[in-house]
Amino acid sequence: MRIFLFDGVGDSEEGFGMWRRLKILSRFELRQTWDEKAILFYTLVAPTIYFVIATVSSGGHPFGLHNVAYQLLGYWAYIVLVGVLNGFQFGLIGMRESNFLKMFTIIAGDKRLIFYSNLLVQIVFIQVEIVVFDIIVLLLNPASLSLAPLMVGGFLLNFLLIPIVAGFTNFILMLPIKLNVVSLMMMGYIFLGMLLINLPFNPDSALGIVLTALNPCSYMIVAYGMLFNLMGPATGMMLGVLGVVALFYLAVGFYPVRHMKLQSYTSRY
Amino acid sequence: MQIESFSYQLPDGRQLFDHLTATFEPGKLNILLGVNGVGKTTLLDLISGVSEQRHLPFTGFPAMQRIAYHMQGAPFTGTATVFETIKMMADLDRPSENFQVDQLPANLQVIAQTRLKDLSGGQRQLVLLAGVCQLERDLYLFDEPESGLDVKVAVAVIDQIKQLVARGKTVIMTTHQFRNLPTENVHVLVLAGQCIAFSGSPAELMAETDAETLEDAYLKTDA
Repeated sequence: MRIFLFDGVGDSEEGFGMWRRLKILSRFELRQTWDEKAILFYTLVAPTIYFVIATVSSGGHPFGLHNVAYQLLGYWAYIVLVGVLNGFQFGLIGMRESNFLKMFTIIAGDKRLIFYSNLLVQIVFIQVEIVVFDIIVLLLNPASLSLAPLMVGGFLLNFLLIPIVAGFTNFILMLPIKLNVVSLMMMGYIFLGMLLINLPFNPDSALGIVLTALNPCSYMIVAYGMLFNLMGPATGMMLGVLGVVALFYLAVGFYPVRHMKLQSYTSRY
Repeated sequence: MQIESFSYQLPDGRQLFDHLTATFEPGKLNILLGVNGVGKTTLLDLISGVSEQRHLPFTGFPAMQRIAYHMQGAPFTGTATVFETIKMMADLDRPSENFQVDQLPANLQVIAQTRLKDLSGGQRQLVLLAGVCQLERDLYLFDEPESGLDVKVAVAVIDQIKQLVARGKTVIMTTHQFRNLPTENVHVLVLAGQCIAFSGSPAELMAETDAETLEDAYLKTDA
């Protein structure tokens, strides 16, 4: 059996050993992350407060939009992007700067194991946050119960979208920057990404293709929209763009995993 | 395990090693001595692979997967407990064993359920050392493992490291403490003047420098 995540690890015992190690490290990472409840503020509490205020202040129709389904996509895109940036890339850079990453990599024996165990834990966290958010939406707006199938579909699609979004944003791991600079950069990146999904664009147009290829938020909106038929009927062109962009970021976006430095830029020990 | 004519400059341009050649003895405790800033930690980082330099003239060293490294400052903290941390490390390399609290060293059993972030620096260092000793690797690196520890605990730490050597493992350790160092099955390397100034047994070092203790012998060599 070829274990594609771990090049150089082929069949049998060694490959299964890597999966076993990944399981142990993921369990440990999950345990560590579970206690850091503060991260929920940005990814779950903040969008929930925003949704509640918007719902209450607009009599159940936030921003004048009557399509709760379409609004949900924006919240999901936000939770996924912030979860990946804040919990995953920011977390890895923080680990590097405290030299934890160096120590943890030696313990794990392979940098990629740390990367993938972190990604697995973030997938679990992001999915839990989205489910909780969806439940709050259902409680606030019982009429949206008809959207339950869409919510289940979005949940399943997120298992694909989260690694793709990580591929979009992994370039951050290669930058020789310190934690405080990363924090500012990420805020700007999230703001810009969310701003761009509000541009009225046709996914089939040149602008639509460029945004889908470069902005992870636009990519997610188009992917959700196509799956749930919220942006008109899916075209071959749109499907092709989504597929090619996904393959590109899954292949190229994980190059930084190999080349991310383990040494801190700020502290030797 | 050999390093052959290795030169290395720090990012600030300072020459750290100049045609450094060193041999580390397999199955022994290799003690790397040298003053602060001479490059001991850099050398361990390079051997372990965390520095990720290419084309190093290093031969015979195992790959990162087969190395355990106890780093200076014990940069490993978080909300996991002492037991969870050491169990994670034991589970990685010893899948057939079910690690239990009573397998922790006695001084760690009392803090088994304490979170790493609530420990003192010295305690964290002990936890990490116990964890590193649970890893089943070919080469073990220790960077000043007894620094910041009280005398009694430092003796226990050196004992743990000696047990690794007794199991046939190769150990490379840096230290500034001479009091607890063993003399049997030990290979000493003195790093000075950007290269290895001495390489041999403690007895050879003492004979060469006409000193009565390893500490005196080191001081004479490094002078």
